[in-house]
Amino acid sequence: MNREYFIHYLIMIPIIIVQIYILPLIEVASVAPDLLAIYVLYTVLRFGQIPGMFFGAYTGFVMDLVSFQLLGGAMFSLTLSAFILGYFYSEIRSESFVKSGRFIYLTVFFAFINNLTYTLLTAYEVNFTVADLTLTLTLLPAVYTAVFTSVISVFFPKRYLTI
Amino acid sequence: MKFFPAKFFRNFRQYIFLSLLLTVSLLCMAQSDSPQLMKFRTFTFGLFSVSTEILKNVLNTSSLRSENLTLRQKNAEIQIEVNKLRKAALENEEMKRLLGIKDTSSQILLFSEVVYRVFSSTQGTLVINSGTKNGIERGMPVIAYGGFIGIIHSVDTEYAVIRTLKDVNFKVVVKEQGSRYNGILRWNGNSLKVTNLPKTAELAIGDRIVTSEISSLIPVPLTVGTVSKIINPERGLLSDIEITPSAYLDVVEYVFVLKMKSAQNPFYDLENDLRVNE
Repeated sequence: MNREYFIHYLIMIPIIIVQIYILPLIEVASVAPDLLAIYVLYTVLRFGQIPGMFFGAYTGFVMDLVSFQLLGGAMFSLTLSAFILGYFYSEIRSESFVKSGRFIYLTVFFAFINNLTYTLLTAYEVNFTVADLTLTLTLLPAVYTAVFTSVISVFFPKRYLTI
Repeated sequence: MKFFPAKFFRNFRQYIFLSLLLTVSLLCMAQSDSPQLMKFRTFTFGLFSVSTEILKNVLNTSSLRSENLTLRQKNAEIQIEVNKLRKAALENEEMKRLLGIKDTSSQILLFSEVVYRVFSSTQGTLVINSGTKNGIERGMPVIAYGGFIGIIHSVDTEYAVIRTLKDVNFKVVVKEQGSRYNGILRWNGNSLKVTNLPKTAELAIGDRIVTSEISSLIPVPLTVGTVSKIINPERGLLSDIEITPSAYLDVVEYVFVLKMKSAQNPFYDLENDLRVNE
């Protein structure tokens, strides 16, 4: 597990470049799919709650550094999301898990918690309406991320998507 | 009893690790703007910008041929235009000399290319490929095709970070060009809003909004956008307006940094003070 787990720390760097440079090309209403959330969720469900939390913290920290946004914001939200979604970790391995509907639902859940926490942390001074906070800023990006996940799961070979 | 700590750790380790990681992230937030951490962040984003710029150049190679052709045509057109302007400038100089008027314009525009941009719902930053070696300082205003887009937030030798209008932490004093009422412009995660304008201000949809001279950040009026919605609550004496930015922040590729005189730049003194305090 250890060697495989730490390889994901290296893979995350090009994933962050893709998130910053490639994914804005498929933005809809200024919202791009959150590839980092998908990848952190994948590691949580593959390696468990605690390794997932550390991976989420690392990913968030690197993202905060290179994006020059509030340092610790993405780190906090990804760690918390990884902790909550860690309760869905199962020892039973399944090749088709990523291709299943359950992974898509969990992506929505993960991205929603992540977006909500991040928005509340970084914009605590702003008076959001409930609709903005729950729908425009959090749920809609989460749904778009889930749609992107389903596209990935269709085109990627099964062996790379084993949980 | 001897093994209590080990048992405690085994049973509650996920909560212990969660608390630890969340505490570290909260500490990072608290120290986000400290000079030491800023230096480290500037170094990291410089490294990242280099790799991203290489990737960008590789991806752009295919479109270079057609872009070259278009640019050659533009170049020819601009050469004709420049010749006309040169003649006009000479005439202007001569007239000024005769009338004894001094040239007061001190702004210099520095062209720069956007290396990458990061937009979340609440924060928006752009990284450009010009830095301190090009004379860029913190706090300089940045414009793109259309108008004002933000200010320089951090600078490395080769790169600089722009905090854009679409960032909840960025506020700027603006005014309606016609009525000259001032208000504070801010991104609320969904739209650009100017709040607390008097209801008596005669505002209409489509009115032009520019940066105000009373702004400590941008002392020259720069176009920000146009009024897209007027929010008049039944109670109270104040109203809000929503602005559509003139510049396309989400797709901007080239920008101009307004190299203002340091005396006009409030960040300049701040930097100096920091250096003196060190």
